[in-house]
Amino acid sequence: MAVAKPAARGQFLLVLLAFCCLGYAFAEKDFSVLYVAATSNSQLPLHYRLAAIWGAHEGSLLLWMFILSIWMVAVSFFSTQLPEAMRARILGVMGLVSVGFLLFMLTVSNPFERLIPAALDGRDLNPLLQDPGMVIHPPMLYMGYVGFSVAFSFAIAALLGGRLMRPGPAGRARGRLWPGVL
Amino acid sequence: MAKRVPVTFKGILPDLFKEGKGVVAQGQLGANGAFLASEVLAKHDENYMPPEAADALCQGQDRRGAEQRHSGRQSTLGAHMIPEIGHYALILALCVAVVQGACPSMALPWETRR
Repeated sequence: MAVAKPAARGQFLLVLLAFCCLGYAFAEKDFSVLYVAATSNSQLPLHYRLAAIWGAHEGSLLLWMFILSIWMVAVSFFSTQLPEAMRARILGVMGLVSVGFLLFMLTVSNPFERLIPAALDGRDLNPLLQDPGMVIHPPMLYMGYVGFSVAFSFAIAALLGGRLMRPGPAGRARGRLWPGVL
Repeated sequence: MAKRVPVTFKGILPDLFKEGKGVVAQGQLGANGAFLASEVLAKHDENYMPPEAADALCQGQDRRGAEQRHSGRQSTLGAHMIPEIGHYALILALCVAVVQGACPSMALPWETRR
């Protein structure tokens, strides 16, 4: 149970590393990475190259995963007033959510897939996306979307424990909690 | 549940209207089963690019590609295992997430015992 907190932080560091690796591939114009070749270009300015990390499907999922792990670390730091078991459950549920996303990314949507032989130049970020809003809007949006996974995890963890929000018998508390979740 | 509904529309169709492409039609379903559309909107996916932009892009790339071949610039080798590191970091993150996800099941007996 005590493993949840270090696991959440370790996972954050690993996803951060993966995110930085993709960022590095974009910054260094490594067109031997399929995703970079598909969404970037050697003439694209740096801020759009970095925005191109979330310029298409695979990188968006990595951003999604990255933000999920940020939320996870935030929960691990700011939930000290919660009972140990509750916190482990919350982080556990978030861990299961990230298992799903990581499995999906690694099996069918891998942003690190190679393109061999490497492309001479990238196909460029879709011109419609080359807008200052593209730099800031998707991360903000995902921050909010993925933030719901925290609320979800709290709810599921409370159901698993059946104790945290219980003013009366456990059965009644469940009866009131389930409709809120379903 | 798939059902064919004939759609009637009088007016100028969007440029992107083509065979096999999706559209959004707004209007009313008539008594005879035909849909009388007052507005037809073309839909496109995230890969859509205005044709002019796509053309300009192709031309620019051809020119640049030629320049690069002339200058003989090749992507440098070495220090380029970075994407692999990222890939392995994701795999490790998956392993950690599995362990972390197994926590609630470990916490349950602990809680009930108390």
